[in-house]
Amino acid sequence: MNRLLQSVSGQVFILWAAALVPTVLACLYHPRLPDTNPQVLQKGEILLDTALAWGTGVLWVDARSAADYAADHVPGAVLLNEDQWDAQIEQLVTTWTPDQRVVVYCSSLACRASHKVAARLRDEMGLDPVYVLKNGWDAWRQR
Amino acid sequence: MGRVATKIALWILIVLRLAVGGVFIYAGATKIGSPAAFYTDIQAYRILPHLAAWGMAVYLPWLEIFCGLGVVFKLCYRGALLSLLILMIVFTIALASGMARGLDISCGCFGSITDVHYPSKLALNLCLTIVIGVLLKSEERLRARD
Repeated sequence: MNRLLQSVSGQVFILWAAALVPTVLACLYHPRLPDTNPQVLQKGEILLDTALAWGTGVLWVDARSAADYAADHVPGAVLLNEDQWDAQIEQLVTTWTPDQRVVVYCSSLACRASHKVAARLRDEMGLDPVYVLKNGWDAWRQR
Repeated sequence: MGRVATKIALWILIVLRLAVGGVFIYAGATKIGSPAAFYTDIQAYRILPHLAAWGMAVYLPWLEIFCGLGVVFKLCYRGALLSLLILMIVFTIALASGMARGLDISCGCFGSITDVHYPSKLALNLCLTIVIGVLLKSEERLRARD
């Protein structure tokens, strides 16, 4: 292994350095860079404080698994995840009223379930507005 | 080993080489379009601080593509294989740590379209790591023989 490392370290350096060139260009010109401030909201996201300020005008949608939902959830939240979409969507439709904003959450900052469920609610169900809670269940737990 | 067997072994190595290179080129290409989404996936692992995750989100896809191209076209071939081996070990450790902590994440392997299913993803990582190791070893043998 040592012999291999010595003989190919130059090649490794060239490859890793070459990848830096487009990286620098991307840093300068890429239109979809991550925000340098992690607290900045992406499109469609909302902070917990904002959602709480809306009071009862919010329908909470829990996009986590049924087990996580059963363990604990935002009071009044409706369970709706992609795995059980057809079975669970009915409850959301009967619960939702047109004056309510929909806020979807999943487990944390980085889970994708809330974004997917929010997109389906907008595109397939025509609900508007539908937001994704920044930091998801983590934000609620740490409030 | 007979001539036919040697020829078959060489063809298998070529197929493996193209497959490994192709996988990493594809993996990188699916992520360069949206570093912001890849950043979110990296953050999901809760291993790197914000700035490091930011840098990785922009840099890693390009590194995967360059190493993948290196493997496909046999440019800096052994360096590319060794780099991919290192990357695979790091990815697998991150994945295993995510599984151990019960994180509900998108794996970030091929853009943001794949929800992680830990056992199958770990098995895939293990297969890829073994194949890269085999390619590296066979190249070392060929060089030693020459």
